[in-house]
Amino acid sequence: MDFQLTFEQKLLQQSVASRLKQMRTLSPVSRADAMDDADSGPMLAELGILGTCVPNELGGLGLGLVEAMLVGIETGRIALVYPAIETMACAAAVIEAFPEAAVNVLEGRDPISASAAASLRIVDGRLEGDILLPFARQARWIVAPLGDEGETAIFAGPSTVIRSRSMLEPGVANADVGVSLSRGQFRIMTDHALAMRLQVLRNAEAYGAAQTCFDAAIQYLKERVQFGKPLGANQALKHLAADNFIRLENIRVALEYAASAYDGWRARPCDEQRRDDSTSALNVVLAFVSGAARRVVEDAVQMHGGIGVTSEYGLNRPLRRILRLSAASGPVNQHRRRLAHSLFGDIERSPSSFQSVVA
Amino acid sequence: MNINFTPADDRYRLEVRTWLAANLPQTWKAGAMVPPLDKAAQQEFLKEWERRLYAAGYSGIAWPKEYGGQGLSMREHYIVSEEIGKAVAPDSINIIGRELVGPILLRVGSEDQKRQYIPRILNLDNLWCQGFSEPNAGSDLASLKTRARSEGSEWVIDGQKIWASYAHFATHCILLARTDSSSNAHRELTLFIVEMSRPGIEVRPIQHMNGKQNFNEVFFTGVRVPDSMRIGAVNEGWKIAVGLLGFERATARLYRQALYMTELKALYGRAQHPSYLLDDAEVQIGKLGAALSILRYHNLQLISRIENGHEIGDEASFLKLLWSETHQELAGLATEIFQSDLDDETPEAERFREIYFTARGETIYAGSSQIQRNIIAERVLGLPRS
Repeated sequence: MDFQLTFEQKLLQQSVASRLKQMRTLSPVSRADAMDDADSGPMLAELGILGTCVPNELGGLGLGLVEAMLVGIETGRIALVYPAIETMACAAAVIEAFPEAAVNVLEGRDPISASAAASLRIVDGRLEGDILLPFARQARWIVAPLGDEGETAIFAGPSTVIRSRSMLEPGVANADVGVSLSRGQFRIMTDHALAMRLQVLRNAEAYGAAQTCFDAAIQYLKERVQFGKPLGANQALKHLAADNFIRLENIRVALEYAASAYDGWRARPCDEQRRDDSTSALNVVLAFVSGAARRVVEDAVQMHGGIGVTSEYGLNRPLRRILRLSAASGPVNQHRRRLAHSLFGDIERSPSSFQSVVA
Repeated sequence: MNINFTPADDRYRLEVRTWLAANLPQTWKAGAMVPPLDKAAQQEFLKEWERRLYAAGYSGIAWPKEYGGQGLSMREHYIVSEEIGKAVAPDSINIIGRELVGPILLRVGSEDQKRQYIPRILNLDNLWCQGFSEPNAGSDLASLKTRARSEGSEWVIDGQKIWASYAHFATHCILLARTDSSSNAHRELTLFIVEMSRPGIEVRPIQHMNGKQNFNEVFFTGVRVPDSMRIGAVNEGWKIAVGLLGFERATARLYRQALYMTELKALYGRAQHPSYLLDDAEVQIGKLGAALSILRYHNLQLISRIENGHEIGDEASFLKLLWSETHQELAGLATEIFQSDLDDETPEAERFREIYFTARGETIYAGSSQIQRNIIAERVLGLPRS
């Protein structure tokens, strides 16, 4: 048990962070915003990170979810308009299904996107239905859930875009996509782990986005002067800042634990205890992270006063990113209920509850 | 990064768990707290329990063997803490000895002091209380006024302390007193060991709102203490005490996460009962389950950092903030789940009444939540002082 990032992991995170920081720090949303970072694919490929979770023998880095999470934090930090986390989560599955995809995926020419909500079915050997897909315009490969049993459909994009929405996050094209494919055009895989990877990485991006806004707010509290002193000298703001520091630390440790638990399970896939720990840890992330991340940014806006509410200052893109990612994580209360059952469901029903818990 | 314990760790954990299951008093397992005995008998019960724990090797885990400790690592300390918390074992009555006196003596005490006092903390021959806070020096501890005046080879102590838990039966007090009144700064405080049997000490009980006599006022009038009972250098008391407090608070209270998780489990069990009313209890319980799971992750990270040789500083402040505020939320949820059953004479209702009222103090002692937030804001985030 050594629950700290290794030197190599910290180095990976720092090198990705400094490369991405060159693109931008805060992320303004302008009126005619068609910003997308589509051409960041080759840049990410150069860093090697698209293949973070792809085994060495298939051309990837052969690393774990912890490393992918660290990358996801950094792409979230600048609200990168490119499906980096989706590509990292799904590359190994796409390459296994369509080996010819490997080179272009790993070299950043063919981004992968993953659907957050889908109603797909197999009808007479055809794959039919609708999916909700972020980065629909950029996606060259699409991964979507098929039913509830961990089955996943993988197929080449672009498919028929029925309706594209960029209302929440400009440039992301969160689209309703119609799917109608014949046998041979798609593959079905059973991979319970894929959904877990996606969920952890979505929440990692939310954390990165929240961190950027918090850092900006702390800087602002030190610089902005009113009534003859910096804003940060006021206790009310100190406490607001402290509460959000704590929230971020809680998010960080929940993500690190979930990613670590996942990697521990994948190292011993038949170990049921490790599988259960991984599931439980993911439930903690789903029950907590997205709501907390949203709160951090809401408070960061508050700490900025007037400028925080403008489009040009740049807190709104991270906020919008978090809202989209939260929706993909699903309703928080559902996860909380599930977590309660997974933590305590083995209890014997007894009016004297202590009798049954202290064995 | 690896969250899995080794097979050796797991074997040790099983050993501890098995011992606890076999040795916890029966009344404990039914959810009763200390059996309904008179005060003196209760104290004996708790003392005897702690002595048994020590005899079994589950006390002073990370303290050096030469002074009576087990000489093991923080990891074993963590495992034992977690199992003790999970089993809802009785609280230590020598918390001050374990959390404050022992660590301070091990860090800066003389060799004689270590040999004299460390073993007696562990076998409970000495019971300790803390003489720090005063009526006018709570959060602003450094402004304390109790004086220790040098007279030859002795110090003469005059003053008043408050909130001294256990002072009514303690044999010894660790006292922070002002040894220089040239200014009010915290550079003029010194730590002393004071035997409670010394003439001039008067203890007056204060009843906690939980109904128990948990703490006291302690009056010192011309109390004479030999210089050999001074801990560390003169005027270094503040640095010693405060320097250790963060680390100690973080590591000595690790058992709380597991204890609160067991309390939460009891609430979940109650909420399954058919007569139960609050319909989103499972959502609330899941929310607290997430918070307590996260607290556990922080604890694991703390242990890893210590094992890797990192200094633990102000960042440990937020651990205290986290467990105390989370526990208050749990206590609040308990009142919602119990409703008027909180008034029952059952052991369970009694336990949750005690949890609720005792929790009021948890966000106040050992650095109030407001002070902890100030520390985080100023020392961790670098925001300017007010």
